Amino acid sequence: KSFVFCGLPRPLFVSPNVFFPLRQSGLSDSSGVAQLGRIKRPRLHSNSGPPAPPSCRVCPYLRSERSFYGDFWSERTAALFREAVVCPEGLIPFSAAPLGARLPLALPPCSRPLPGSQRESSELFTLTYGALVTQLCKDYENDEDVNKQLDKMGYNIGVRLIEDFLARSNVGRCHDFRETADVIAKVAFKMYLGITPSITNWSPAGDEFSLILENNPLVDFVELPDNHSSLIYSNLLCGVLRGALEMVQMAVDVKFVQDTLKGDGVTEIRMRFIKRIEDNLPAGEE
Amino acid sequence: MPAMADETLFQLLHTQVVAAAYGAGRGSGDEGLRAGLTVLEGMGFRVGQGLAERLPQGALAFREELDTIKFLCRDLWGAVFGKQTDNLRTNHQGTYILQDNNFPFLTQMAWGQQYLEEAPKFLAFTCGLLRGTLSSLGIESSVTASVTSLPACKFQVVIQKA
Repeated sequence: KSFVFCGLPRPLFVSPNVFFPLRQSGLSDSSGVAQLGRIKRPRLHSNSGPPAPPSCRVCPYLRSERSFYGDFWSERTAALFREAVVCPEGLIPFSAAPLGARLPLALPPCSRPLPGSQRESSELFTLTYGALVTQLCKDYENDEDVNKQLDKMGYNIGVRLIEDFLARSNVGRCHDFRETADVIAKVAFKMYLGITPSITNWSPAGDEFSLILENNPLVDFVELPDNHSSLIYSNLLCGVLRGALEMVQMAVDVKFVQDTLKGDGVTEIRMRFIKRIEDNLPAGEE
Repeated sequence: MPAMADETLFQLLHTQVVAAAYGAGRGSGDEGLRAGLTVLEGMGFRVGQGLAERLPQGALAFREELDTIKFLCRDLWGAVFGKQTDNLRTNHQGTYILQDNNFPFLTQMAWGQQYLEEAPKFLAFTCGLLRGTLSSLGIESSVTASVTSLPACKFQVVIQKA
């Protein structure tokens, strides 16, 4: 096997001291790391480059653009975008569009970030997070401790992040857990990680739900080595959610149920409402 | 370059990264401080290398060393911190000083001299980031940082001649 050093070195997760160059995108890999094949280059992303292909016909991100572009497509523009770029929601890749599909003749400049650049918007975070997890694995012998550290760090981030979120998003108070779920998935995740997970699997009592992340920006280019099978790589997210919700008077339990790093098809986070946190007045101040 | 991470989230993560570098009983006192700084600089180095790999190839054909440093000041700073460095000085012999009067990782702490001792911890990652980016661009360097009064700081980049 020869490695061509042609891209992003992984956050060195496969082995802490060895540099593994990224496999070329397009090669399929039987180890199930399907992620690698989906990020294509060159990206259509520079500010003066061609605008976004309105190709994701089920993608909510671009749904509002559909009426704008209409159904008027042309072969020539379709050829331009045949190099598939997966839409940020991880939904239909453009290359799956039927061959007769037509693109509009003249694509107006897109004011939204292009599919490629949405990926980039979390790269620095992804890389730094990878370096952090690698360091923690060096410092702590077993995976459970690392998981706990990640959760604690996430909690510290969450209790501060909530203020920034409330200031920037201007959402009002949520009246029930369903509203909270919507805000988390559609506003918070979008704002900070550029993805919109879907909400499913509500419990009958309405106090538990699942967030399904088709693609998790934290795990781009990451593969779990065999000796870290019980590591919950993205555990920081659980801490962030727990900490942030605690600051708005909600005690929740957050955990990963499925993880693409462990071979599952999607990443699933289960959130369970425990109780409302009442403010405790100091003794004697009733 | 488009912004590479939500700023607030990245700053909060960086604070936790600094805490992690000093956790796990790395020892206290000067030695512990230095060990932590080394860890942070190493992390920044790898992140910098990774970032440089993601840049569009056409943008990296710099004719001169000075252009590379200007790229750091403008584009890399813009992508990571959302702003540009305030001042760049050079002696035209391989030493460059990047000055930032309002460094994002230091703005949340008390301005002035109160936390002068703690400040290096929050600069080590960025030093590594610069060194890593330059290394990916084919330039070996050594990067140090100095603070006299928060939140202004200076990064000194010394290019190693082959």
